[in-house]
Amino acid sequence: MKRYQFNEITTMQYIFLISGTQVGIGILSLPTQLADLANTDGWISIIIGWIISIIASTIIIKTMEKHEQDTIFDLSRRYFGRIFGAFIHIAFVAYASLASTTVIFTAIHIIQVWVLPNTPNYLIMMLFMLPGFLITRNGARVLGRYAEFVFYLTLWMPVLIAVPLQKGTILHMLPMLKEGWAPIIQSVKTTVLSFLGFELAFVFYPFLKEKKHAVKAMVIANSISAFTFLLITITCFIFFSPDEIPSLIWPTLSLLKTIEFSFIERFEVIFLSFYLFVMSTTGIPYIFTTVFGISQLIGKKDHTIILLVVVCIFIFTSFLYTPPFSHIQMMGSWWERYGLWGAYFFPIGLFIYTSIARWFQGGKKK
Amino acid sequence: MKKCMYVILCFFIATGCGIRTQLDELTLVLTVGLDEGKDGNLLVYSISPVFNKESKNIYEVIRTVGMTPRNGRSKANAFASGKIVGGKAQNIIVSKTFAKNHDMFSYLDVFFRDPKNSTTANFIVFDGPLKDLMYVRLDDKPRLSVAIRDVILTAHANKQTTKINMLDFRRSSLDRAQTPFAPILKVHKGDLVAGGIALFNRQRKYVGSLSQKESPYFAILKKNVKPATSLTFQTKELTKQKEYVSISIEHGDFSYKPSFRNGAFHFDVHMKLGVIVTELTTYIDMKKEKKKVEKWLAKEIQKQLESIVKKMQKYEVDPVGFGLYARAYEYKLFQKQKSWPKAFAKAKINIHPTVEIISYGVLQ
Repeated sequence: MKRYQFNEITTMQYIFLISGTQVGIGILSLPTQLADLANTDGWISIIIGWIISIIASTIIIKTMEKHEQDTIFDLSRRYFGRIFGAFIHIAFVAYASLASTTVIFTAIHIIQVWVLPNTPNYLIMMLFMLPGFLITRNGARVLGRYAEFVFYLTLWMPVLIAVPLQKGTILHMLPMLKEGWAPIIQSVKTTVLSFLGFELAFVFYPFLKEKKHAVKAMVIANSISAFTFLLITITCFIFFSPDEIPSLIWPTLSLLKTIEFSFIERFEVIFLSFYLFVMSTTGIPYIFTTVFGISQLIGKKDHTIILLVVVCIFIFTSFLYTPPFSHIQMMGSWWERYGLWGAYFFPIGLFIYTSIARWFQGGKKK
Repeated sequence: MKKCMYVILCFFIATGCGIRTQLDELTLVLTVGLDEGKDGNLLVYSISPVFNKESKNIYEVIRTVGMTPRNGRSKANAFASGKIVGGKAQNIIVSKTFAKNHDMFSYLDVFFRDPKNSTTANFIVFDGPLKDLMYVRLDDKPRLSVAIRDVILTAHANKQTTKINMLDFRRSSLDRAQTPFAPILKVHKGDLVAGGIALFNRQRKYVGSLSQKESPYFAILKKNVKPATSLTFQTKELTKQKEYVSISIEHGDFSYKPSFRNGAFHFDVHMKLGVIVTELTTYIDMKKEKKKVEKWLAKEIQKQLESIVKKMQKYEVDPVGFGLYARAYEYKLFQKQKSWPKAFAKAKINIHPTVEIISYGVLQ
């Protein structure tokens, strides 16, 4: 029996949902983080990170395959029992809520710095929450449709980012492997984290209509993200000098500042307004995961009420608390530390555990 | 529920109205000038257009004394007819004396740090005290800020000077492998004149300049010959007469090959220039003497290029970016150099231009 028959998503929607979650706020600062560690060789570590994330997401799919109708929340209870399962359940919800909080507050901060310096925190939060609420309320299918729609809507953006390429020089990239492999391996840790988002396959896999395409879909989603990361990073490296990049917090946006038409200045403002769509496809799946997880925990089928509560908490928090940049960085580093465990180590552990458990169970049946 | 949503939506759309700003209540600064005052103070000039019909001038100049540009701007708010906004700046001008004595970077920080400021403004060095420029009366030109920009852009297109925006300036100042440069602007007999290139050293201080005559050659070294770089030579060596030949360089192929020998960098610069002869004040039989003329032109160009490279080495600056090639192809040795400009001053640079005459016009 299919549990989520009315909420199924197509393979395309699934791909865009996952890659939309991956491409978000990280990309705005990724070139700086890479240049800090590996100079202009950082792009190589994106490719390594891409391979690692494909491996990790394949492991997730392989784990989920055994129980096609289970999300991670059901799975944890099935394998770990009531108490320990609930513990993992709560941990995953906490992870998703940390991720959504980080994404939303970072997005608000960036908007305030670059576009709306005089608009108060809570007003932007309310504007974010309104579409967030409307989309999340309807579950996975609407989420998938939204992700696909946003993908087509923002297809022009990579083209625009490539415009400054002609003003830079490829000499900045040479020589390849300046300092050997060691700094590249070091910066893989950063790139691996920028691929965070595929772990939501834990939640969205049961909604996928054609399960046989799942691994292929994960590979494509990761590749779309890797292509985006590579494009932006290489453009930044070619355009800015290697000694300049570490001094920029958001090199991608500084890059856009240089695009100027005779009829419009400060193009990054328009870009950033559109980029809100991209950031929303990162934030909304995490909010959905949080809300969905909580409603499963307390055994409710409809998650609208919990969503309403969560939205109210977000808005209420923004009234009282305007995070300074240092707090946002801190949240980001928490998310990354947590994400490394949640998206890379946890799936591998889970895969091994479930395999062994099934082997034992299978042995009993025979 | 739905109706309720629409009402809320309308409310949100209206939020922007509370913090609007009207254009005529703003003072849009189009040009910012930095100069040194009498006691070493910083003089901040700002030129902004006036949209009021009743005022006699179409732009206003505000001068303040401050510690930093931002400090000066806050003080200028006391003078201005509206709130000062810097996002539309077209030109950032510093005077030569000011550039000589101060690290440009610490004064320009505000233009990069505050994202509301435009980083595509042109950076210009003014030869003389800035008040000469700020209070110049140009009756046959548009508003001063626009006139300054136009002069620089036209002169740049004709290779009489160069052009650099704030972002490029920052990039070349922070890069270890090159040093920044900027166009020079002058006021000559009440008219704006752009010509020559100001050179900055590693510490972002003005150290010297290339003249207007040397500017096209600087453009050639920077591989920037399009659209058409025009040069004029005296034909004394060729025809034993004081006559002239003008050519325009249409395209060029360049190759910079760095190497490291005997403790110094060597650069082999090869360039193939395709030229059109646009003027001949004497008769040269082009059919017969084409090869000879080509060779002679190449020699003349080589002489000029070598002299400006010498000049740059004397000042210990590398605005052309030879260091970029050194870093790309001789990375380990480049990293060993404590200061690239010093290494560049010792480098041997061999320039080998070859000239090919594509056409010599519609006359024989």
